[in-house]
Amino acid sequence: MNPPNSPVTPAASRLPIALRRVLALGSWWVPRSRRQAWRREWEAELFHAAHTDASAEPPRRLLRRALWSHLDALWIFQEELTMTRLLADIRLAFRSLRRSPTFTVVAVLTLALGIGANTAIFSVVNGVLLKPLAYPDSDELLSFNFTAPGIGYPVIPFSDDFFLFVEERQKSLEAIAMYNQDNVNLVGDADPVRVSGARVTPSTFAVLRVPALLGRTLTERDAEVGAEPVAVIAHELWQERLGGDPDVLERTEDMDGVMRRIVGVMPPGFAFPNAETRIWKPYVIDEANLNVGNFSNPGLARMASGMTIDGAVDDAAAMLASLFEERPDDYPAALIEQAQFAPRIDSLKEVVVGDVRQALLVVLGTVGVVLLIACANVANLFLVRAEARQREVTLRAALGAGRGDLARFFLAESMILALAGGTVGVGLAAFGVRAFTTMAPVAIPRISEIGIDARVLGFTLLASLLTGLLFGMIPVLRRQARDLAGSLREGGRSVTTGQGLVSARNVLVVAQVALALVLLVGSGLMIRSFQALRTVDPGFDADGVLAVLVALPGPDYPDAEQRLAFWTEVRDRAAALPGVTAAGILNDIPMGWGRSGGSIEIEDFPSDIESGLLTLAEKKRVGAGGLETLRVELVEGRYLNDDDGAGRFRGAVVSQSLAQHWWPGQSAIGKRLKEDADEDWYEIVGVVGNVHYIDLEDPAEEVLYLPLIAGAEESPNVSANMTVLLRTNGPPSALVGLMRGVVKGVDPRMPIARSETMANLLSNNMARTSFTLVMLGIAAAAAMLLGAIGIYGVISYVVGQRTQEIGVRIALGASRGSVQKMVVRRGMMVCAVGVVVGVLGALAASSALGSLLYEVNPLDPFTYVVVVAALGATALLASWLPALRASGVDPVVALRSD
Amino acid sequence: MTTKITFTYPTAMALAAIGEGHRYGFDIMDVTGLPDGTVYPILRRLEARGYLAGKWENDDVAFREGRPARRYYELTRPGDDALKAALVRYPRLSELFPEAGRFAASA
Repeated sequence: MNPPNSPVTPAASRLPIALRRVLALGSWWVPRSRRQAWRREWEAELFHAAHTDASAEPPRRLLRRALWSHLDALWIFQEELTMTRLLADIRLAFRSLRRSPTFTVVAVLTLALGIGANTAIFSVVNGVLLKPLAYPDSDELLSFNFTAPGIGYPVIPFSDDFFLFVEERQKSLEAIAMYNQDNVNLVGDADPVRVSGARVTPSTFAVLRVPALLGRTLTERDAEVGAEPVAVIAHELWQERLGGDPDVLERTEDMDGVMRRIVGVMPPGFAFPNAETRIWKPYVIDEANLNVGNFSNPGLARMASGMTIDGAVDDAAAMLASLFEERPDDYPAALIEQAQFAPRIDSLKEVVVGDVRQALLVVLGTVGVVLLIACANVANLFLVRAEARQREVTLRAALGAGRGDLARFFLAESMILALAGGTVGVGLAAFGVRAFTTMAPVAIPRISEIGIDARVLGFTLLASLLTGLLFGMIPVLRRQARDLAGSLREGGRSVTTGQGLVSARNVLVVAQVALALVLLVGSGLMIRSFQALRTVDPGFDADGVLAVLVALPGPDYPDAEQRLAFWTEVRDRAAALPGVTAAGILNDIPMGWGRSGGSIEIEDFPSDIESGLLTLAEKKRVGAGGLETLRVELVEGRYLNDDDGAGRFRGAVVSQSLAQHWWPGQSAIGKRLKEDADEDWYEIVGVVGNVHYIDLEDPAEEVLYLPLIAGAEESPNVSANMTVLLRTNGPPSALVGLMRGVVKGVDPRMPIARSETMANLLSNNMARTSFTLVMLGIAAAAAMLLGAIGIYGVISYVVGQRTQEIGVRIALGASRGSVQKMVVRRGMMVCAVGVVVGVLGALAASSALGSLLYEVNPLDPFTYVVVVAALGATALLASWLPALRASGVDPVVALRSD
Repeated sequence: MTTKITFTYPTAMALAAIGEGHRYGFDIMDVTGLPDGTVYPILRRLEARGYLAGKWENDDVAFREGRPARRYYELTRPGDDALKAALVRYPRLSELFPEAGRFAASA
């Protein structure tokens, strides 16, 4: 006879082997306790199907029936999982968490802070670095330029000549375009406004693969010399400025004095090259009068499918070589060699994102470390709980709960905490992101694309689960290392606590101290960088100065006389405004919105015309009062005045750096130089202090200041775009409204293009550093606080555990002081280990800050000493508080306590 | 069982089939024509809630007949009530299974 639960009945062995295999496979899903019964039932069923039916089943149908057993098995599996195990664990975990609300709230809030900070920063990283640009197949888009490191130009854009050559010869691109920013004074029924615009080759739209929403984009015909002036406008401009006029395509608008017909409206959100661009005009290349030397239009290209960036670079390099070879007259070999001319091609996204990448990744890493510290803290709390529940857990184990059951029990709790923390964290992150986007430096690109989307939520979920796993596993792993009998014994009355648990918590505190130290060193280094930047003398006095940019449209002001008259009039009226102590004009202000430089010619050091080697400098056009208003220091001679450009005599002013470069140890006054070979000489009348034009972090540029020239027959030079500078005693921004009135008073059709206080421009220049500083500072402060809590928690826990022992010591005559010392020593030892580990970690990690630092050695000893001292002091305080409590122990009470 | 019982139609069919004496898996499948893989989860669920009792066939019988012992399902008392409720809820069911009450749990 057959025992009732024998695995296979003799009759069932008559089942075809294939069917039995199928069943064996299916039974894998069935929990072990039910597996045998399950197999028996299915064997019987299949046997029945195979034998009892008069028309025995064809094998294939039988096999299909056998496969149904898998569905059944899977169903049992999921039922088992959801109903009996997981659900029960989760219910149990909920109940036990509800019983200790303080622990739960503290743990959830700690995790929420950590996860929330990570979610917020990740959503920034996602929006700025990860999301593809909002163009179809945007990974094929390239920023296409050149570089000439030999003459100090990391990026040289296209010239018309280059563009035509490349467009004709290239083999690696689907299409190529070039553009330049060309803002527009839009004059209409309403107040005249300055609108961001661009001049683009018609191919731009094909490269980006964005069609017009209404009408059409630009065509090659629009870009022909003498074509009807047209423009494509942005959806936003259509809605806001033109009131969504349905007949927009029949309108003609006055743009910089040119009547342009609107031929198309782009879809909402389309903006190229800047987020503010609203108008696109055709870039007209006059092939009959090519300017070979004017490199001013950045290139944009789409790779042919299957092409790589390296391939495009090779192709471009080959084209350059053949261009220079074919046309040595236009491109002298010596100059090309000096310049080290080469293509510079990057993915468009890289260029859009720019140098914010490193700062963002550092901040993301930082908040990641904060999350780790938060994890360590919660793990610590968890261990305390585990300790308190030792008896409960031991009892469970004694009653037969396996390691897996206990692990699930702890993990269910930690997962619930982590997911709750994640949920609260997403809420915090939503606030954080809003705060971030409003206070972030202007320099962060794609800021409008930052938000919480599915990918961010996925990140948060993953972060929460990993977090839960991380701190939930610690008590589990601890438990694995213990034996039952030991726990039972320890859970009873004993003098000291299990050394194992304490050391686990010590390890956590060491980790916390070490991580906090790494963050503190990072933010310390950023503070030192910021200090160093603050002490850089920009070369001018920014306080109390307002800069107002005005752009005169060419058609309205065709000649220099008119322009000079406009600028002089505006400056004089501005100087008369109440509270204004000085006013001046300059075409290019420091830390400002433009850059003008190029080759100069020095009488004493003639450049080699044959070879075309160039002497380069920043060149600024400055009207009387410009340098005075900025309070640029006068080193020698005098500032420029209105007469310097008016008559035959032409005065110029140079920066100290330029003077010292060419005439070291002697006076530059009286030396002569000029802008271009065929121009009149300027005589140096003054030397002024160095001014940082581009970046405080870079050395001050060599600058040549030239006067505005209108009267002379030859080479009149009065810029169409100039900045009016006003110095005032009051708040400079209060003058913007008055200045608008001044400009309108001189020309009612003229808007103000931009206005900004010099102080703002200066602080924007430091924005990246100060932004990184603030983020790192917040993270480091949080890390330090969490670390202190960790030390405090461990030490006071140990004190609590050793109450009896301390009582005995005091009863035997130990002084309060020696008890305090004993406890503090313990805290400081843990901290010291953490500091050692942390210093090693910081040494390794500080190199990641790399280029974010300014004139600070990543190994700056001062920072390390201060940070270690601060952390040590915090640890001292955190362990001294429990020490106080320990020395207050009443031996009688202590000995009686359980 | 006094609590209100609501069943899906396939569940009601399975109950009725068992009530009529079709007492094991494939038989129930064949007679109800329910699609692949539906019947077993229904049986498992009904058994878990106490409407069905699964019983192994006497091994001797199976041995004598030279086949593996089968697992038969039969209605419990609550299962019986459930079937009655189901027949009220789905009146046409009794047309499909006219003898659905035949193998009801004995009083």
